[in-house]
Amino acid sequence: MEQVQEAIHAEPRIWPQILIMEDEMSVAKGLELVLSEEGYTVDLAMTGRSALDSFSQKAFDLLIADLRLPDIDGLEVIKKVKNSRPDTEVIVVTGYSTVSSAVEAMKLGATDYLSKPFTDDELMSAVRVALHEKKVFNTGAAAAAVAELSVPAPEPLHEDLQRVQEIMTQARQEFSGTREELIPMLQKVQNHLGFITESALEEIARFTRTPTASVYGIATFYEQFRLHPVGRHIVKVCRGTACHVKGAERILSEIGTRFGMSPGQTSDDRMFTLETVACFGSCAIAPVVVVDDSVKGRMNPTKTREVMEVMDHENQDPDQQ
Amino acid sequence: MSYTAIKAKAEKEWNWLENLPQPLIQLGMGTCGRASGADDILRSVQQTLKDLNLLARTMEVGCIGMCYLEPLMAVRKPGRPFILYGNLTPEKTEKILKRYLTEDDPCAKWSVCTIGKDRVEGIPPFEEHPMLRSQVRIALRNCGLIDPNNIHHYIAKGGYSGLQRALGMSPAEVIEEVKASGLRGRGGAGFATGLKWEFARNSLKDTSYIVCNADEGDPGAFMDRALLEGDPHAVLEGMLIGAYAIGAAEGFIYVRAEYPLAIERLVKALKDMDQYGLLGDSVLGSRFRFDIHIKEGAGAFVCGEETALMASIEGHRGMPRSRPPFPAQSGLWGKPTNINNVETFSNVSAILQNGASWYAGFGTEKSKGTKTFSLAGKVERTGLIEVPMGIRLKEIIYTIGGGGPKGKEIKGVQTGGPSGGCIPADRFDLTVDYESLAAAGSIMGSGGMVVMDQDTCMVDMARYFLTFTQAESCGKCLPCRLGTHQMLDILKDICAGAGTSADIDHLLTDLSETVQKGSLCGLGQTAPNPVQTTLRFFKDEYENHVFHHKCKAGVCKPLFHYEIDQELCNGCGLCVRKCSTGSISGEKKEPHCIDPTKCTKCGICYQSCKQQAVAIL
Repeated sequence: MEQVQEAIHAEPRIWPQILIMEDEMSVAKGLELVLSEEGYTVDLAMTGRSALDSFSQKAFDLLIADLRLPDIDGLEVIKKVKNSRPDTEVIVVTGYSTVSSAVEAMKLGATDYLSKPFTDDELMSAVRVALHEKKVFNTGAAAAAVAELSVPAPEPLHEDLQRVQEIMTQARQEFSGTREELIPMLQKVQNHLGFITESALEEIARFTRTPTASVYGIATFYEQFRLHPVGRHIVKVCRGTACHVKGAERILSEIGTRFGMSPGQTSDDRMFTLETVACFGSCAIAPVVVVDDSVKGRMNPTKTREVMEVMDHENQDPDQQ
Repeated sequence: MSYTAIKAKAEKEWNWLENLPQPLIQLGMGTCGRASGADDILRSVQQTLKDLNLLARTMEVGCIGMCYLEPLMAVRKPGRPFILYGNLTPEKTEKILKRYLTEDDPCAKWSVCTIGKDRVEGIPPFEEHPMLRSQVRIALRNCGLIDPNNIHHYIAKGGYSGLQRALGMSPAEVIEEVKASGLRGRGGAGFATGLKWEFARNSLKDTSYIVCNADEGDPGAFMDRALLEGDPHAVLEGMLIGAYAIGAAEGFIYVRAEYPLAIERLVKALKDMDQYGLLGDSVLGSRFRFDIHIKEGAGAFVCGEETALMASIEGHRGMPRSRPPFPAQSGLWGKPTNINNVETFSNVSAILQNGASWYAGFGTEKSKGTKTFSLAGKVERTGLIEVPMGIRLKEIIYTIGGGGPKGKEIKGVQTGGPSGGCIPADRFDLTVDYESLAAAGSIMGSGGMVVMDQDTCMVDMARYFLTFTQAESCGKCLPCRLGTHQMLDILKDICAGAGTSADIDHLLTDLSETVQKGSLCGLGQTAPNPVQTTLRFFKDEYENHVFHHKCKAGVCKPLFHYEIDQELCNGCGLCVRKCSTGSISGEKKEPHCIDPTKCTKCGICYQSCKQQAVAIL
């Protein structure tokens, strides 16, 4: 957080520039008042041509356009502006709310369509949305700081395409590409990568001459296959009958409380992935927990938590916060 | 190499092993053993031998079935029988080896039994141990007694003599032998194996396949795993005999991915078989050719069903299809296919080795032979057992299993996995065979047997099984896909205290019937079974949940709370130390109490209290 603050205060704040294209003076002034109070820099254009003039001299972040103008059609202006300065966002404002104009405006790239009368809130909401999409903090350091700060989306990591290629080359030698090799191929990929990457799935589909959708169907039908990267350690809690009777749910509960994970999830620090298995077949020593390759019997919530805490501690990089 | 030559070589090696001038130490290294710490025991053994400067041979064995005592170690001094030691720690191991091997003190107090002909004073023999006395080990004959990685051990104990005998008979004669034995499929359906083979043989045109179903998806069952890890050849020999009988030249073993050790053992076994000409173009020099491929499952319970299994082998989603046509007529890639369970094959090899009438001498009229069971849950002696059909349930649970944990009352036993049912304790007199279990509303299933006591909530068990079948439903049939979902929702409501009497009626009649009748495969057809049996035998628990909002077993969290009995509590403070939310307070030696606002009902205090002062209310 501090990084962002620093970056913002280090450089002069650049507020978004808005052009209001509106022929009715009272409306124009009203909009100008509301927007400048919010801190935006506002210019006015009473005709289509003067709007185009302003655009030729200056780059605006947002155009608030009335469609009905004395000289040229508002839609024409929008078209021209979008051509010359495609980065400009557009909000259309008009008293004649017809469906066709709305459709036309959206087709031309307008973010929103407000029909009069509208409230200040409606206006501000539309403006904020339009400008947020453009990422107005377009200064270098601030942008970088914000980007670093943002919580990573739960998307797969950048695929190591080279690694996938290596594995697929091996696979192509080992297998001949028949349908019945589909599942073994997926298993092989997962053994190496920990999960099935999108590119690997597509490659396997190509190699076995099967539609990608079919391969996806197989990858999602069988529990074993994962389509998202896993944590450094995989903890599997057995949910077999004997394990259930002997308290497997309590173990899951404890992991949930201590590490904040439910089955199928990976911890935020990517240290653990928690999975459940229908049955490991070691029922006489229930409850069973498998940590990576090690099968552990007669577990309980405390022991499981301790095993995971030891691994957590071992893996902590002392330089990281 | 001819069979006679191979056998001679194997017997020579076995004899050498039997007459070792040094001590022999066997360690149980199946998955159970490893999960209980067998790797540490092995290290301790190796270290101790080094420290004592002793020459001794160590050998890995599979699961002998006494899982509750794992890790296990058997020590044999020259001229003496094996002494089996259990519940080992590295420290105990060191002491035992030191005392027995250097001081001749057999450490009887840590021993379990002796294995072998002679006796050791103060230690009961294998055959008299309460867990083992009633057992008749046919499928499990070698498990825990041989090195599963060594084909010579298997052969020395009579292995592949069944195949040799079969190759000297015609395929039709082999089928007659299996029919005469009365063997029924051990996967759960209990169909006559010989008859099944006959159908496959009669459909034979050009190609046919034999498949070993090693998917063992039933939660609570681990017999097949132990068999594959402890004696893979017993299964493989059975497969070869079956292939010969039905005329298949190619076989598949479909093993679930969750059994990596079993897969490892199979890979080794196949390699050894290949070297000895037990696979390939001319099996044991005959005109019979056969090859086996291993296929790994990918985590779908439904793939234990025959047609789904075949779909999976072919590289598709494991969705069942309707029968007829049966796999025997049209299976893998449209060819006649015969699918048998792991245990069935292990019995086949024994039958061909010892004869059909020998096998038929065990069991009952309609259920011949023996059956393995995974005895688990709330019983003292959990493990893998094999008993003759017809034995009474109570003998299994009380004599073999040793009854429930101290102070707890056994409520019932669940057999047959998610397709089976719960049999209440007052019916434990019934005999274990296909017909009686079915009459009691349950099924034999693959052999899972989970014992439940007063701390098990039967409504929760029904909910548990429905959670499983709902998740595993392939989705093809609407009654199964949505019906199990709805049944689960109703059960969840009941466990949360929101159930109504209409729910109970609905569960029992319409829904159960719809799911049963409208499902294509066994998963859906038997999914209502746990609900049906728990409603039939434990209706009072359902009524308590619905009408009184109470779960007397202390499982359904919204329906109970813990309270410390002020008379019984002696203020020892054990629960305070164990409680992870700090909900218990009290002065030393004074009765304690639980703060209900902080208590998460994890149950640790209830289980740890030595005075049994924590009450479920």
